[in-house]
Amino acid sequence: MLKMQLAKQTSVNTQMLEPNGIREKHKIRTEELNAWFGKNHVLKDISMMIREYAITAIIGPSGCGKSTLIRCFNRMHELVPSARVSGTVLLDGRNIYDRGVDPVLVRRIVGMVFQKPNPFPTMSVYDNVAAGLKLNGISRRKDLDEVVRQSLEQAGLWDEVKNDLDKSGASLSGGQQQRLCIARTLAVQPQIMLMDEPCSALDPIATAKIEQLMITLKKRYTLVIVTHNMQQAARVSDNTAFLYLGRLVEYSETSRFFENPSDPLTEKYITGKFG
Amino acid sequence: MSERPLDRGLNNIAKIVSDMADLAVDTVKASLSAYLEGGDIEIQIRAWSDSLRSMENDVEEMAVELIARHQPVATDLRAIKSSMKIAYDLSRFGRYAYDISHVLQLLDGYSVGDSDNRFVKEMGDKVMSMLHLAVEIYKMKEFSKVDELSKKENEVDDMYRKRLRNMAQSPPEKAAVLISEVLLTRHLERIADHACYIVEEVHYMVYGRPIYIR
Repeated sequence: MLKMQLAKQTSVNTQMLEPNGIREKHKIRTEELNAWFGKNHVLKDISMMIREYAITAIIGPSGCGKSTLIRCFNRMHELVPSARVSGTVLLDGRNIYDRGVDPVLVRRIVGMVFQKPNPFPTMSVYDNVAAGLKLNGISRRKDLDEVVRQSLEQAGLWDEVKNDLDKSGASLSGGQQQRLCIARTLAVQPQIMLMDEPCSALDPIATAKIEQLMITLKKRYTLVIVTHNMQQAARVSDNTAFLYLGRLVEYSETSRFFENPSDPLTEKYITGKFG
Repeated sequence: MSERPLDRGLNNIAKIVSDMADLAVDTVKASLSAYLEGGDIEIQIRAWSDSLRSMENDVEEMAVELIARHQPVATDLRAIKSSMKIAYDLSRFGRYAYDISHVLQLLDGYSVGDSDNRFVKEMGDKVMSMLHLAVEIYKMKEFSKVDELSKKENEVDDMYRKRLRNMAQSPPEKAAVLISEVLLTRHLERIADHACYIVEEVHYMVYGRPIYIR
């Protein structure tokens, strides 16, 4: 019933909302989400659901609103002066834009990994991972040690750095730095991880490690990745969304999306026949 | 939109498959004529069959290279996948044509000269028309004649089954005739099946969803 009501309200077919066509648990649901930078209307009436414990890929040409969309999922969009949002983003059914919702808490639950690995350059590997915990008031060394080790293990980095925890995070390779950033995000126990082109600065080997990591992480977290690499979206994601000029053009199960897209615009974009 | 690097490869594959289709039709037609009217063209049929097999290998190699180089998706990926399968079907036509041309030689020394070939001719004509339809649908990517193909496929199947039952009641002294006809009709029935497979693949290539003709 809810699905039908929503479809009616937003004039978006249910297939767009639920890419698999079946009811599964969704972690995020947006309803008529719009976003602006000043007068520039960058997201237009986005209504979609993000499946829990799955990887959702968001693709589209530069400037289509991909990064803005995921930045709306953890209220990072509003950090930009002149940025504005309307509509709702429901996280487990609660609108994160409701008055009284702490955006810092939202960003802890909805962690983010960026295109360029950005470890704190003056901090050690250990302190990079522990930084968020310390900010959240955890100071006992034993507790920190445990979370740092667990986070680095989950990020697939522990074996490579366990003897160099005091080394600068900036001394690691690009791929290791990105996994360090993932460990840093994991340390504060998020439920959702947003990844904005997490492999675009990495070589194929480091990329493969991150992709493998994503697949491992989805057992415990909900992942949303923005990528320009369609092969990456095809390799790792369960569902794929195509954005164009701020609108959600197509959203479906990844295998179907890349084998038989239903919208001619999607077909043109993924086959490189655009323009 | 200028030609993509992938387009050249796709066009090359399409050209080979199209050439295969023409050669496959000629090969089956020649083998049937030789069976019905006489003529020793087994070597020629063998050569054409080998050519079809070789062209199928070419399509497969080019397809794998395109996949490796371009990671195609959507219509491009479907075109490659379907072309590989269609090339296989066309290659099978060559093999069945060779088997048809080989039937009489298999029974060398046994008289089949008194056999009534009207049935084989009728079934052969129907199968040839299916082949032409399948090739036309492949080349035009147009499906208005799918029902016609499906109807003919059912007719061929019926003819095959009825003929088998009739032959089972034939006297043993006509064994050589019966064997030749059983083999021949079996090959024809398989050719009809592959004509349908081709059209099913063309449908998938164009629309991305299956169609079942048989």
